[in-house]
Amino acid sequence: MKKIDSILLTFCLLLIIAFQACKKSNETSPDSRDFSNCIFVSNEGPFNSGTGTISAKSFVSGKVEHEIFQQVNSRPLGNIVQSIEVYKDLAYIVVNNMNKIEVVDAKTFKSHATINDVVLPRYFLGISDNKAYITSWDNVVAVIDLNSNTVIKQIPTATGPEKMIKVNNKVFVLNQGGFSTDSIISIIDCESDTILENLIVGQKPSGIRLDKNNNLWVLCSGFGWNGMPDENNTPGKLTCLDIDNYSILKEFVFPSYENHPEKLIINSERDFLFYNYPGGIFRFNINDNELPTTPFIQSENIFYSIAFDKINNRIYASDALDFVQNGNIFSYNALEGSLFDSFNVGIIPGSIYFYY
Amino acid sequence: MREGLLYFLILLITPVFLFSQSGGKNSINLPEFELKETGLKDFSTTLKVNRIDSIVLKQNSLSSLSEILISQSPIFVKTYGSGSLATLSFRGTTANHTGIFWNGFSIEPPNIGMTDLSLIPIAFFESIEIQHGGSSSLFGSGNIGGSIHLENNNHFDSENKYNLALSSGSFGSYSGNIKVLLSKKNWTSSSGILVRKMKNNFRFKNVYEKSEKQENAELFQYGIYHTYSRKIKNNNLFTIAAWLQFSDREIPKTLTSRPSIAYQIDRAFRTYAEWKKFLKNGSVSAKSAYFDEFLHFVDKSEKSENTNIDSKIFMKSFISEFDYKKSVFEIVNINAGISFKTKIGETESYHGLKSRNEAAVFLASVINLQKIHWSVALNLRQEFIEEYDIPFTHSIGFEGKIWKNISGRINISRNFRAPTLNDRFWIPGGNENLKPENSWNQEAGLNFIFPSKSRNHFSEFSLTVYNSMINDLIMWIPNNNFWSVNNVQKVWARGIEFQGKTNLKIKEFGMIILGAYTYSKSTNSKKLSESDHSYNKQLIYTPLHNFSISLQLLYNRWSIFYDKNFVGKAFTTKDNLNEIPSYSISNLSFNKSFRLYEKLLNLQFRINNIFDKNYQVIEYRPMPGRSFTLSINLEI
Repeated sequence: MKKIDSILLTFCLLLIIAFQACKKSNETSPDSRDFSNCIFVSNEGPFNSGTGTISAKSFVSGKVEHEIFQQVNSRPLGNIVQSIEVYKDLAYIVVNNMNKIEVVDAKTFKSHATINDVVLPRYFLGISDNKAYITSWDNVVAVIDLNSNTVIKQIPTATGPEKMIKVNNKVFVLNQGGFSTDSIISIIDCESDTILENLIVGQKPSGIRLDKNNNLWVLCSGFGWNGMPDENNTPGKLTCLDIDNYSILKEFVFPSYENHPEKLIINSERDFLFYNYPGGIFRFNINDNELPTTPFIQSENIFYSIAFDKINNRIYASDALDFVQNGNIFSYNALEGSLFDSFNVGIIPGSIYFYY
Repeated sequence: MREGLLYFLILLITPVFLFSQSGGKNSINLPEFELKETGLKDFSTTLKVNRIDSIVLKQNSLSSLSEILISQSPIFVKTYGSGSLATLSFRGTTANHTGIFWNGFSIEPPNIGMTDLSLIPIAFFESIEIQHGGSSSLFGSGNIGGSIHLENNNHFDSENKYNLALSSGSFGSYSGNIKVLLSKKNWTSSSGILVRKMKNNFRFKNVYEKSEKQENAELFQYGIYHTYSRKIKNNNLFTIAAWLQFSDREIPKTLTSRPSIAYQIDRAFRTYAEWKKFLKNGSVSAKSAYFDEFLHFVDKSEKSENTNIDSKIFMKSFISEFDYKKSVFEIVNINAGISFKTKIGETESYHGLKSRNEAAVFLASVINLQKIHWSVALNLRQEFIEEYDIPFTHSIGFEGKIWKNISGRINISRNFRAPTLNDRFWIPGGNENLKPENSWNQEAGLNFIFPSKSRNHFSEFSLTVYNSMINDLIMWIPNNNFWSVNNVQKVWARGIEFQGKTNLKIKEFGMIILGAYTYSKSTNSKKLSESDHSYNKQLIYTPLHNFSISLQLLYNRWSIFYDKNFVGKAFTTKDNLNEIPSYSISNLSFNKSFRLYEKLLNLQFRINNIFDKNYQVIEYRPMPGRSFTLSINLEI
């Protein structure tokens, strides 16, 4: 019998050891925070069942903080945080796979409201004191009443509306095609919230900017994916459009069917465009007559997102690495392209916003 | 599928035809040969093999394989929710590294190469064996972490058995199972039907810490199973078997996503025929299998076409195997054979129908040195797979007595895993330049047995250390727009397994305690880029510690089962900066059996998750709290 006793004792000991291994820790969050003068980075978070996060880096102290929404509000943001935009001191965090937009006070990050019922939302654009637009993969632009934070109207677009730009009283919506491909810019009159025109451009319009001459630059990626050449691929295009009659002033077709340009940003003087292309970030002067052949900033990985810091004249670029670990942000001097700084953020950093 | 159904009907009719013949005048007297044997038993003597207790299988006959492995083994089961997808992480490897075998046939679907264990009912099998460690030299591609063997035995010349099991439980779950075992001198057949329905509308805490009811998580499953074996004169044995499994389940949302209306249908029809001739000191056999699988995933949450998903995949596998077994001077057992396989997959993402041919030659041998109580196993296998250079796999193992009641075990093996059809053909992302993964596995173990003189109690302990390096690990990694697959990683998996069992019997009272602990350290051994923070970090969803204990108390016709499963914290990101907390779940069941007019009636009341723990196996996927199940089992 003694033998049995000792065997039982061994089991009990093992049980105790096993339960000792299970410990929990709770972090306490400070009561009030100040995130003014920060770079906000929205991180999509792991695919499938994860949550996205917001990282913030202070322009003043240089300190980087992670998961700030969760820290302040004690709950996760939700699956796939698509973008962050600050409008009238409120930050609008678009949570794609949860069909919602979390509205927080941009300074404290305390929850202010939640906008629900926007199907697969993508980007936010403030229109007036009372109104904003949100693109939705339900192929609409949702019109939001900013007082009640509810959807008041849905403007039908083409397939997969993404980024928007407001010029005077018009909003230009890029329709990339969602899981497929589209090549339409929906032009909306933001007084009446109605479609003025559907403009056909190149395939997969992925970036739009206004230059100093008040001309619109549209970057179309073309059909296909980088690193996955296929017979059906079409080349990318950079097109300059007249703002009033939408006529093509200039057009540059990318030489390769296999490589596709993506994302488009412009500097503070609005005379240099930057875009992602295999090899790094390329720079294009609006007066140039041909596309650059060598990158302005070299990189092996294609950056997941790029943004322009207009006050400090820097280009910010995010690297999502293998998409299952925390990514990095790199900042470069916009005149020379030299690396200025880099810091670690969350998983799949997808959008960068400068809250000065 | 139509041909599949037709074949199934033929299989169902054939036994009837054969039955009517067997009633005839000249029943054949066969010399007695051991008719049951498997590759596993004969040629895995040096490997660590655990068999799930037959009482446990019987008492939980309405469970799925994933549920049984969670409660009865320390293997980490990655389950996405009640009734949802469940895969294994065995010895710190990924879901692709554990083979599942049905009477010797590998049943992994050709598209992804991993079996959803929640779709396998245990009711159809009489024995479930878990083999630990690399065994590609015995079983082929993908058996790096281990393998699981579902077996049916032949019962000639015993009693007919009829079995009915019904159960009902919390969250709208109902299941039923009928089994018929017919046994005659020259033939035997076993048939079963299982139906399972679950609403899964349990309550869980959402991100606002409020209670919420699970929606869109219903499950409906049924399975039909039939096997027939017949002895024919001159020591021939003929077996046919068919197994149809259907599942229709809704895919619930996660805690961090919008409501879901997605659902998935899985249908698998598997059948085989085997002929075997028993020779004086061995056997020769030929067998052929045909597997037909269909998967349909639908997610139409939005009204717009561009975000809806409606994906279908059709898969077929044809397998043929010839083998020869021979025992020489009762010292050497050899098994030599060849096998052919054709795998076919058809889906929109392959842009049509794609197929692949495979072949293998193998030689397995075990030398039993009875005088010194040692066995030596030497296995060689070369597979040939279209378009791939498959490494020659071989293994050597030793097992035997060291001192008194202590025995030891050492195994070294070379293993591999071939890319799946998805890895090769999926558009976009599939890669035609993939290489097979390859690994070296080593393990050493000690066994201690404490028998007692009265034979009323005995204890057994085993301790194993293992080490393996998996090279050219195939991984799907997203880039900016789509996922693509490459031989990117190198994983170093090593760990310790401890296992103990105690049986005790005093008069009417019996007790069995089973405990197991595993420590699995699996790290990325390759730096993918300068800023890669996953180097030397633990694989995601691979807990370091896993501990399980189960206790059976038997008294007269009463029995109580208790099991507890502790799973240590696991990392959810490759840089190990995010983790999911550890949890431990306990289940308890009371059983009472009655004898009614010579028939055996068993009643069971089961409480799952008795402490009502709120836990997640996969981040943000809620698991059910406490639940109750009542079941009856009638055996005639």
